[in-house]
Amino acid sequence: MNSPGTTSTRGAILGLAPIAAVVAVLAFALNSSGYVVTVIGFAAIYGIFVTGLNFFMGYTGQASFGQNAFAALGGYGTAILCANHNWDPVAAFLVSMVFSGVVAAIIGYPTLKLRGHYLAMATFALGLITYEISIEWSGLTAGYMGISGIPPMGIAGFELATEKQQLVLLAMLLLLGIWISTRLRNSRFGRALRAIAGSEPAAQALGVDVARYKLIAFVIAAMYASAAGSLFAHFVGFISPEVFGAAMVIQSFTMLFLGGIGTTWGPALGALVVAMLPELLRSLKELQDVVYCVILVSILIFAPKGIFVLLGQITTALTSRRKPRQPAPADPAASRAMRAAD
Amino acid sequence: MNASEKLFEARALSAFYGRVHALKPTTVWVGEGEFVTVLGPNGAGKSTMLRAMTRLTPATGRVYFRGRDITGLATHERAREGVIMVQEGRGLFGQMSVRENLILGAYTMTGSDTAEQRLESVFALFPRLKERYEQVAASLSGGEQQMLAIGRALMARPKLLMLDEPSLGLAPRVASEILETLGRLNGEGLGILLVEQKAPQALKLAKRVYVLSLGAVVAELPAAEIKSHHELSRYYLH
Repeated sequence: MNSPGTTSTRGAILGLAPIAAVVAVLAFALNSSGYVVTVIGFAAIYGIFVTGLNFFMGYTGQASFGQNAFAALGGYGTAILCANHNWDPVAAFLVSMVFSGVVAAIIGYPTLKLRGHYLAMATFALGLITYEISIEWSGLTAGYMGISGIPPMGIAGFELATEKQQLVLLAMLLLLGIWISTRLRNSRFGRALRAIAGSEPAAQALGVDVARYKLIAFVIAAMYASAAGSLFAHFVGFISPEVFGAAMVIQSFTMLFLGGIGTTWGPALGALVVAMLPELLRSLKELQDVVYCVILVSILIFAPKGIFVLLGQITTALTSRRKPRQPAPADPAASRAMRAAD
Repeated sequence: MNASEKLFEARALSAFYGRVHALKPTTVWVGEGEFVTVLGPNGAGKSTMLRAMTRLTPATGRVYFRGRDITGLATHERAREGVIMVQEGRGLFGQMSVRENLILGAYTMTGSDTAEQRLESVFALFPRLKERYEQVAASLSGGEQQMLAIGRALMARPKLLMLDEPSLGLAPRVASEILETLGRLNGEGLGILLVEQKAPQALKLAKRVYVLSLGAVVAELPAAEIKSHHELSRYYLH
């Protein structure tokens, strides 16, 4: 079948490379000024958000325009419980996550019967409704004023007082999130999700309970979103409805597609690129937005499956040049970048 | 043949596409270990019939598996019972490798060792799939894709294998190779329901034949008799 020696060594190197990259980015951030720490912290939070969204949109090939709703649930859950009721941050974090998961299951059960554009519309409405609630239910959310005084993340009275400490935690949680995503992707469950993305009737005909798995993927995505929302609240110390508005949806889609939808590391990579690019381009002043857009469009044209897949292809090209050519498998990362071809 | 020897039976199965009555109440059955071929021209309702049997298309009527009423079961639950369909156009996961497609075929089977054993027996039937193991399914030739689709269906240890025009678009030699394999599988006791437009070879393998036209069964006869049936043999044997 395949040559186990070379494949597993290469696999191990390819598997460790992204972790090394995270550590390198973290080290860079820890040796930088506070502003860089903030930007990379946001990248890590978004990384968690889109890694979750990738379960639903990447692996399963569905569309959700309303995942910001669950980030709002997590953010407000943490803010209300910690700032107003003095809860322990970890407890608030977990309770918000479970709550988001339950809400996702209740909403997803009828909604996920919709497909394609209809599902996109329904989920978009979900985001809008949550946004309206966060404004109007001012007794709970303080409306446009938002909630401030949210303590930093901490465990049992021990606070991660500095941003750099929090950044280390964010990086660890991001790695944990990606690890779970990688493990699940290559499991029976993950194969079922990717079968749904490939063709729903074919998946059904093979015995996959399509409705159930879509719902599970939706719930997982919601729980990741909630975690990201909670972490944001702790990291910034303040939240308002705008934080979880529709801009978040657009931002997260850019990250997903740029990094590599359906891949394990792509979404987080996309989050880093999208968070860093505007900062790197800041010196261009008024040309900044134009150059930013040109770069985004160029990446999508020249690496339509995302940067992560492109990196995988480059690595494969470099390693196979040194060895005699064999009927090499298409790059595993590339073959993973599945789009719904229904 | 009494009911207990029937592997699969669809009674008064009927399906609509919008306002078109694509399948008029139809009763079709397959015996244990039997090879049944369904013939009919394009648009006769053959695919609709298979889709209705697996409930990929909503239908009325009742469906029995080994005498048990499985009408209430969803598509994936029928697959778990062992009713597996190879869809027209093969329904492969084009961006996944041959290996991943095959492993997904064993989705209903729990325990990885059984999947490994099944893989070996599929490779014994279709050695070419072993050569293409890590290749993406979309890059296979038409014949190889059909082999993969059948191989994937076999991974689930089907009790009834339903195939929707497996020889469509294949070179005659490849098509006959695939039909030969189906004959061999049937020889091992697998029940087969094969849908084809026109297939002298499929008739040689079959024990019984249904002829579908305009969404209804117009003839049911032992395959051996089709030769003596002047009009049918003119349509389907030449």
